[in-house]
Amino acid sequence: MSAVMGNIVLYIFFLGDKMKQFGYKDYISQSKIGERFLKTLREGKLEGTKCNKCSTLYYPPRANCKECLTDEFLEPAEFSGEGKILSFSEVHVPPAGFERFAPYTVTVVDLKEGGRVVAWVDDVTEPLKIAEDVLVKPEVIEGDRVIYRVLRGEDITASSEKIAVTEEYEVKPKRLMNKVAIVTGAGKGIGREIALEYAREGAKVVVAARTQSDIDSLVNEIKGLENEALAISCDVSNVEDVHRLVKGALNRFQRVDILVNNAGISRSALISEMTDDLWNSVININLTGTFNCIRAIATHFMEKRPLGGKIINFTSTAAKYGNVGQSAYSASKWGIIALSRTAARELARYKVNVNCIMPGYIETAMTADTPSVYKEQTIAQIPQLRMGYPTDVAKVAVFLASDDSDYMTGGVVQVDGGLRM
Amino acid sequence: MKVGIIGIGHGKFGRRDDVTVQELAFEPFVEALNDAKIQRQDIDATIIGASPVYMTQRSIAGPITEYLGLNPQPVWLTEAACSSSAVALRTAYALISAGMHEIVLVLGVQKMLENPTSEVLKIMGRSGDVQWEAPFGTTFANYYAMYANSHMAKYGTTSEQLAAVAVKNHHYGAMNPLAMFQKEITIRKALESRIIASPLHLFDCCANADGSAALVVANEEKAKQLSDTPIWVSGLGAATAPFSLLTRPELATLSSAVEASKMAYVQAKVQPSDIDVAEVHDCFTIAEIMAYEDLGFIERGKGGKFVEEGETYVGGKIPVNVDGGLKAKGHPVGATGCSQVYGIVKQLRGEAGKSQVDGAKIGLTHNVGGHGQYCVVHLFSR
Repeated sequence: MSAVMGNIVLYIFFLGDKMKQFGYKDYISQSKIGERFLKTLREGKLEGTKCNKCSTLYYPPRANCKECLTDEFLEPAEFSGEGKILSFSEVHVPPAGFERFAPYTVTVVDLKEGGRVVAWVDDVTEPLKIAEDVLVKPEVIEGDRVIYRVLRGEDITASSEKIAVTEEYEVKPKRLMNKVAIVTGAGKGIGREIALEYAREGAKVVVAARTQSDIDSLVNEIKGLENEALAISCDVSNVEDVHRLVKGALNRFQRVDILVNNAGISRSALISEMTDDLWNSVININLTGTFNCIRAIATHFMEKRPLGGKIINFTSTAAKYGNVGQSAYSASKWGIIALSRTAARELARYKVNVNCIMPGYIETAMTADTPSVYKEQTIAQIPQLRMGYPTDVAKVAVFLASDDSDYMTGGVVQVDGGLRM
Repeated sequence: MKVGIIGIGHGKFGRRDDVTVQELAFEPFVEALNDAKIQRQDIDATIIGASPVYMTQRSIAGPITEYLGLNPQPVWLTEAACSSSAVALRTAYALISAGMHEIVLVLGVQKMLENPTSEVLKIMGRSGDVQWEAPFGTTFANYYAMYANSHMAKYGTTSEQLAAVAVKNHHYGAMNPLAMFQKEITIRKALESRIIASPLHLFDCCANADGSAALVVANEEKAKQLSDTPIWVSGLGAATAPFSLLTRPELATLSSAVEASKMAYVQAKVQPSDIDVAEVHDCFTIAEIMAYEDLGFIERGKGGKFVEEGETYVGGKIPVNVDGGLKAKGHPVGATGCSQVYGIVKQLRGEAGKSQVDGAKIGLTHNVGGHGQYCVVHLFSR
């Protein structure tokens, strides 16, 4: 395999990584054809349509034949993915929602059988050429996202699995080398991104969440980064679960250096309609859960003096603002700030830093169901004019877990693009 | 029967936070009314060219005509993205030719910057096919960048040649007090500006703007009666090309422009070489180079060289965009079509000042909608 191919496959890896939170599904599945198209892409097929009357092949698929003006003779037709680059451009100024990908390269590929596809190539190491032969392959990410990947070079049938990191990969000093971290709520969203970012920075990560399958897949992903990880299922509102978590972490790694209390839920109802169960479930997980974890780790951190530890708690701009319909969530998140300040004072002498991250409007499963009107209105209020992404928060979580933030405690770091200054 | 333009008006282009859209429309309206020496009662109907997606006020034609005092005469809106007001003129021509109206006001107006940037970005983001293209982050600049790469690969067009378009248009923009940018630039400055979508730099792209321009259009009898210098609409062409790049046959040309210009030349009975001065849709520098070729000013593939050798300056073979073009004037999408006609009418009347083309008799406007899905070409004569 040529070195060129090595680089190519490497950027395809990055492409997959970057596209994870790319919510393009909404756009595509506007029609039956779109839904079917996504389904077949997930199966790894490039399925267009063919009109058996006039023999026209369509990619992207069409619901009716443009020539015969009917859908009567249309049938699914599989495309090979082989094609030539028609043109390309590296986008440096992206449209809204694509800021985190830029710069990225968009190509239009002329498919051999007919039809075209818009596909992405990231980190182009060898200059692209018009009319260059490429192979377009769909790839499924995180179970429901699909991307087109563009394979280039002499061996366009090469499999990405064959190539690992090449020697050209620049090695940066890792900021959490050999630290042991517990991340709660690590199954999805911000928690998952923090666990991955910590692993990339050299930490051993104990990932906790209620859904075993989520954390199992995360552990596999971290192991792919050649780092150690341990999955422990845990409901933070359950004191026994929390003790089992801390004990499990200590048994495996003998110490814990970082605790990230990220587990949280959001249940909305106007105050007049808020039931006891709803209120209690939010307070129990968000506020009491954070307390349970701090209490469970505090003794260990005190004993470790002067090595201490780092505790990172998650509040929210909802606490500061008082979101309508989120009395329990907002109150729990404000409570976390007070809890953190008490913990910061009590534990400072043991060299334990306790800080809060206050995320704003972040693209996660929790915010995925927001009605689009509200979403647009909120984005319009953000001075940086975009939603945040879990990675924006994870980077701050690395800083607060690293030695760089040793003189910070009892603080609240707002990560919201300026939403609630 | 001939159709003539007897009055023109042009507001200042740029960021116009100082006015509402109605007030923006008022500026060229009054100027055009005075220029035509008519009263507003003389206007039989109004056609507004605008792209409503950018504006907060919905159904913009009604509020504007109320503000201009044009009730109870009829009004409606024409939309064809960036060529909205060129199709408004085309519609006015048809109405007058059909004998339905004698005098029609054509008003191009656009406030693009009144929305938060996020909103504008979002609207722009939807400029591609939202099912098959936009999900992959295509942008307007990205489309024209792909045309540019295609043109470069096919014909050897260079970034310097693209920059030469920007340098020329800023040169003339510096003479136009209504332009958004009135400053000369150099090839070096253009090439050193940041990349927007490769190979296009910042100075290869026009700017979103607020602006308005108006035309009073009349039948032959009224035009001769009211004006000493009517400018006749001598040829009209309009055509379309596939909207999506996934079905566009060729990327180094806009087939809609080729088709539209052929129609206009046939009607006006002229050749491309007869054109004395042209206004073309230079939303990106590559667009102007493609326009030279699509309109037949120069053979295909030679557009880059044509501008590099100065042939589109005043004094060259065909002066193009000597009012600054979209590049220096700014591009308030709905107003651009009328603004181009304003520039040509000035030229044909001999009122273009420092950028006057001596003895200009035949002028052309080329207004492209979207990334080439619409193209409207008009020819004018004295």
